[in-house]
This record gives sequence, C-alpha cells and structure tokens, in this order.
Amino acid sequence: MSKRLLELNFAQLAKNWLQSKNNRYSDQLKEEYHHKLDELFQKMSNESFDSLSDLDIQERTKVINFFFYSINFLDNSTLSNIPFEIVKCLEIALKEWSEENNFIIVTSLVKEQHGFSFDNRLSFGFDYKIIETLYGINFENKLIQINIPEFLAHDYLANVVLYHELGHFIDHKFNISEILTDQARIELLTNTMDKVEFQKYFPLHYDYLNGPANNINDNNFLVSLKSNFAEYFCDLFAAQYISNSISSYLSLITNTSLTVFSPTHPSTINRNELVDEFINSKPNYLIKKINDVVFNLTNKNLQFRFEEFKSDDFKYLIPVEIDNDNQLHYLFKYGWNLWLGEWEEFERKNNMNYTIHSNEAYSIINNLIEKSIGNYIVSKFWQEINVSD
Amino acid sequence: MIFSHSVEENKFTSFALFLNQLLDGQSKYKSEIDDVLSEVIALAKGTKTLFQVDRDKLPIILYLKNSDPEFFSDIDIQEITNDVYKKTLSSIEDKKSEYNV
Repeated sequence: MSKRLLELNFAQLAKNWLQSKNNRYSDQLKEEYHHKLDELFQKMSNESFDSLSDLDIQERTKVINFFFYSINFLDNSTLSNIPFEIVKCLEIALKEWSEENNFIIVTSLVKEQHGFSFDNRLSFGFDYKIIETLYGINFENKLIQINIPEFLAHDYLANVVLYHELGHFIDHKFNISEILTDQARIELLTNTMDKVEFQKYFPLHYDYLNGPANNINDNNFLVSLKSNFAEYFCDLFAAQYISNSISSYLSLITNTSLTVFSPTHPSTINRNELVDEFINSKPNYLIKKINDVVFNLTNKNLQFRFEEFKSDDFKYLIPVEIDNDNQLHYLFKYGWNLWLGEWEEFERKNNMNYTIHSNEAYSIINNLIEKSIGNYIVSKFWQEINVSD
Repeated sequence: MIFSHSVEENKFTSFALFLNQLLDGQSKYKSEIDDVLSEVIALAKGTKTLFQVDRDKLPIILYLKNSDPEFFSDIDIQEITNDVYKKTLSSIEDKKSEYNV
C-alpha cells in the first residue's frame, strides 16, 4: 500500500467526518464513542505520513477502515425511525450473555427483504488495540450494528429473526461453532463420531466424507460444517427467548424445499425439528452436544428464558401488561400464536360488524406488541429511577 | 453470515501485521503476539483446553495449534526465538491466502 493511497483514504475520511462530526445522539454511550472518534481524528490529522514504512501504512489503513465503519454505524443511529422497542428486547437478552456490558447497539435500516443481521465488525478483533497502541485512545465500549429490512422495521412478528442473529453475535463472542467444528473434526479423525446422528444433521458433509474426494481437514468442508453448527446453535439460542416462533416464520418464508440442505444452512425441517425437541425438552444428541460446549464456555445452559402468560388482552385490542423480562420475550410467541390461531376473535370480542382480513390482523398484532413492549420499557425505567432515588 | 468471515479475516491480517512489525524490529505488539503464542503452546501441550484459551483470539490460536501441533508443543514460552515468529507468520500467511481465494 502506498503513501499516496493512504493520503487519499484519509482525505476521504476527513470529508466524511466533516459531515458527521456534529452528530448528536440521545444515548450517552454513543456520545462518548463519538468524542473518541473526534479525538482520534485530531491525532491522525496531526500526524505526518511522510516517513511511514509500509507496515506503518497498513496500521493506519486499518484505523481508517475502522473509522469509516464507525461513522457509518453511528450516522444510521441518529435517525428517528429506529424501532427502539425491538432493540430494548435484544439488549435485555444480550446483557445475560455479556455481563461486562461494553457493547453499544446501533441499528440500520436496509433495503434487502431478508436483510436481518448483526454486524459485529467493530465488536471484536485487534483494531482497538492498534488504535490504543498508535494514538493512546481507549474505546471502552464497542459498537454492534443491527440491520433490519426497512419495510419490516415495525414488524415485530418478523423481527423474531433478530434473536437468531443475536445468537450469531454470541457465537462469535464465544466461538461456539468453532469449537463444535473442531470437536467434530477430531471425532471424525478418531472414528468416534456417532455416524447416524452425523448423517441426520449434516447429510451433505456425511456424503462428502463417504465420497471420492473426502478430506476431513479440507478448509471448505470445515467452513461449511462450522456454518451449519452455527445455524443450529442460533436457532436454539433464539428458542430460549421466543420459543418456536422462529420456526413459524422460517416455514412461511422458506422459498426452497423445506428439506433442502445448503453448504451454509441445514434444512428448514431439520432446524424446526431441533427447536421443537428443545421446546419439548426431549433428549437430543445435537442439543446436548451444543449445550455442553455452551456451558463450558459461558457457565450457562441453553434453557427457557421466556415465561408463558395467558391473556385475552390482544383479542380485546388491549396491550398486554408485562411483569418481567421473561414475559417480554414471550410476547413474540404470544403474538404468533394469535396470528396463526384465533385472530378472527377480534371481530367477535369487539363487536365489529365487518370482516377483518388476515393482513389487518397482522398489523393489529404488531401494533399491540409494539405498545406492550413500550409500556413495559417505560414502567421498568420508572421503577429503576424510583429504586435509585 | 458474511460479517463473521470478514471479522475473522481481519483478525488474521492484523495478527500478520503484528508479526511483521516484530520481525522488522518493532516490539509494540510483542506482548499481543506472545499472549497468543502462550495460548497456542498451552493448547498444543494439553495444559489448557479449548474452553480455557482467550475467546476473542481463539480462531487464531486454534488454527496455529492445528497447523503444526508438534512444533508448538516443543516450544518453551520463555525462549521464543525469531524462528518461531517466522514460522507463525508463515502459517498465518497460508490462512490469509485462503480468504483471497
């Protein structure tokens, strides 16, 4: 990488920063992060690139890339159409698995129809170390960006996918699928793998190993295996909070055969069956395997982190009163149950003299979920203030 | 999930950068490198399990250990030579080339 290219990159960053440097946020943590960026920019501006070696240039390039991502993440978080309700639900779940609590969640609305994801490029890795080493700046909190399809921003029934995406973040934090893959590799090498179970959950990989080009240490094979492990883990992770809501959504949106496996994803049927076995507490080879690794890494078991409640409030078009965080997560399952079951009761219980269509019922349920979450967050906030007083 | 691939790639390229800096005579990242090698050696010798090594750097630690377990199990963490750093860098460069395929 040349010095001229570094200068170009920094010039582009400077122009970008000029537009973003006056951003304001409602969140104090984002403000502090922003101030750190400003401090970083000042130090980089005062630095001469003239006598930098190629390795020095590589370091600065990483810092500039980090800066660009940070600006991109923070710019999106100043928008007023962020669905704070779903973010709060995810923050509560994240806190259980990240007690050091040094992550800041920001959100971005994307155009892709199925563009749900957690972007953790700024959450892990050596970039913060490089910045601290070169410029003496310590970022105490790290950014996580949640990407939500723009037209689904207030679609809480669809947003159950975000619990699965949070699972990917947790997987990355603890390297759960990495360890599961290495364990599987060793079992395959030592011929101690349960071949029946392996074939059931990883048929493509089973076929590969029984084919002419089999190589347990082949990189593509291991990457694919890891990806499949990750998907199974993330489904179980999400099921802890939202029961089998994600199965409901997956089955509806899967546009290929439910039995198709891909190099990156297990079949929808396999995924749904695994979640069902978890929800019904059935002994299961893969669930045990995953849970053993999760427990050894986190000291936590995969377990129900939702609390069921019975209520007809939605049927009467009233938000549900939530008592605690676990009931909050169950709200999504409650909403799905209603939409897949008895939403026609809206008409009867409210003496409506016209017929509601399913799309209207879908919208009503989403609105009620939003109100229920909002009410709970506000009341929880007030309780915490009163306790601290 | 595409982001996890790029996060991992960034870790490996950064670690390669640290090693190159060290072999070029700059020690500012030596402690980071030695921390990773310490974990690799412990994993290779069996004094640590996968569940006990540094979480954030685990992909690098595991990759290095699997790349040549005999080599790393023979290293004394108190006496890491430049040859060890060079060998480590060579393994990391092999991994980096996989991302470029």
